[in-house]
Amino acid sequence: MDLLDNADDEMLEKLESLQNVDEDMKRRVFSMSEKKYEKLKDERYFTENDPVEGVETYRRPHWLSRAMAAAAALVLVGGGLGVYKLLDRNGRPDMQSEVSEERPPVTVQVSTQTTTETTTEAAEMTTTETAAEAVQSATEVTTQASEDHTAEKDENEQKNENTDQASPDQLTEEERHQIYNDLFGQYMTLDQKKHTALRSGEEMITIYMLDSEQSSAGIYPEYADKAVEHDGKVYMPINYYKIDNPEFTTLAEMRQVYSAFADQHYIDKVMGADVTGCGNNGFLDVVEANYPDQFVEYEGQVYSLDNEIAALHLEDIPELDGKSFPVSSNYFFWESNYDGKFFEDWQGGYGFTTVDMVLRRQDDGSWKIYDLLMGQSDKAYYSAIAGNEVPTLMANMYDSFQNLAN
Amino acid sequence: MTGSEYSSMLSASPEMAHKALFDEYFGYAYTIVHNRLRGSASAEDIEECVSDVFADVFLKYERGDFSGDMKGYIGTVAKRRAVDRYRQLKRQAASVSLEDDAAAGLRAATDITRESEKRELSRILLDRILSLGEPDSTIIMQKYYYNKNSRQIGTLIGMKASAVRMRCSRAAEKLKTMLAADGLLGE
Repeated sequence: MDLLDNADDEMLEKLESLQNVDEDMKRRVFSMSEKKYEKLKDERYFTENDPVEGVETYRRPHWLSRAMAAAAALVLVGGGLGVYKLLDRNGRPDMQSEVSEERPPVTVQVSTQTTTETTTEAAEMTTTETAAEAVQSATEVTTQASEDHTAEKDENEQKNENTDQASPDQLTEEERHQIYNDLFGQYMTLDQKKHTALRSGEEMITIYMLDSEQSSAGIYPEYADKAVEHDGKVYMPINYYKIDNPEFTTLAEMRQVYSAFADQHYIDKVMGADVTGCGNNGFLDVVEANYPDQFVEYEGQVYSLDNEIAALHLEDIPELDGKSFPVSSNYFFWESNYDGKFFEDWQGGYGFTTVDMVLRRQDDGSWKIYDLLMGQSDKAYYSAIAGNEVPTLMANMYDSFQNLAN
Repeated sequence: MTGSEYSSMLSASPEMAHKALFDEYFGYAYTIVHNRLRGSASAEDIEECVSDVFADVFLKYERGDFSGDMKGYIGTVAKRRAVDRYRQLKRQAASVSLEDDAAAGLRAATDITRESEKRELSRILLDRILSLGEPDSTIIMQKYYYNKNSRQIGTLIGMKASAVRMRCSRAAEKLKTMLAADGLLGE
């Protein structure tokens, strides 16, 4: 019967005539088709370069692009944990960052005006603070919390003493697992505190991000009512929520705390600009390189794009399995699957979590998180991904790394 | 069904239009997807893929473009979706090797020099199955091509499982004799 595989059109006609349709299956498939169609219809508005035929062409709000860098199979958790910035504009991994660690100067043009005002007072704010300077300024802020964290870091470094200077292929799988567990544990410990704050309207700010320098005509209908025209340009609102974390208050302090376990690349990826000059309900003109990202600072406090997520304790969630995907002497990927959810309040109550992490060896030989992505799904999904040859959530990124390494 | 017919139905009731289109072309789309994925995908994967095909088709027609041959378009979407799903499954499966049936099937399909010979053999095979007449043609196809058991086949064609088994055994013998006469089976 294998002869009939990949049949041509004439053969397909004959095969169809020999097919007895299972009515139950047919009903099932129709129901699935309808659900998928409804979903596609919704997603169509988010899809860039979607060839829309016969009707008016819409475009997606510019700021949505970041949220859309997501894998399909799992529900991704944590808006700022996407893979977006790991790839440069040509879609290649940003492996050059091991040469240049310095954060480029951030230039943000700000028009200070609330939505209700009719006149514009344009101002320009130029931030030339580099990442190194930000960290330097953070070290001058001595807090008990950061000292505690440094102590944790020292302990961790001691634990990893034997694995320092070793490239992934020189490490055993157990050692790679240990490195991953240490870093993920530090990340989650901090994350639990980060997300425990209850958010309210008073703790939220809204920044109107530049969407287009054209008029709002042609913007997707469901966003058109949110778009605001100002000074001949179109802006879209983004909400940020204040973080209540005893470990840090400002972005500089947060950078310092995260530097214990996160690579500069990851820190730069998730931590953005100080938007104080913009003001609540203000307009922010940004370019891609200066995007405010997952975390912004406003009046000396860190704000996050995330809200209403509460993390559970790492030790309460059993790890089902974990495996490494080494790609070069300085990088490896690690994937672990957990029989539980890390985020208690996540919609749908998904009870299975996959974590993909990229780890990068630092100049001092220690390992830090270069990138991280978490996804939650049903437990049944585990059977579909168990034994994957590539990291589930970071398959494309893994391919890019391998191509670059080879 | 023509594009203008579908268009009229769509403006009256999108759900009814979807159902009518689905009823008319489900068999065709399923045949294509099953033909491409058989041996490398589960029944659930195939059903998922067919549902993707119709979701795509509904979406395309929702945009108001009813030009072209509907069946041709649905066939093209089904083939593309099946290829995508095959690649996806191949990527997910940890143990796909060159010895894998699906991989072997793919290799054969890409071997241009053998393609025309294969096409001819498959045409003869299918003609011989059709010549068995009903319900034997269906029983043979459901048993060996769709991998259904006697009970499932019996439900489809309204026969007892024991009767299906008996007819299947006789039909298979008859088919074997015909194929041997065609020189398609060894001694």
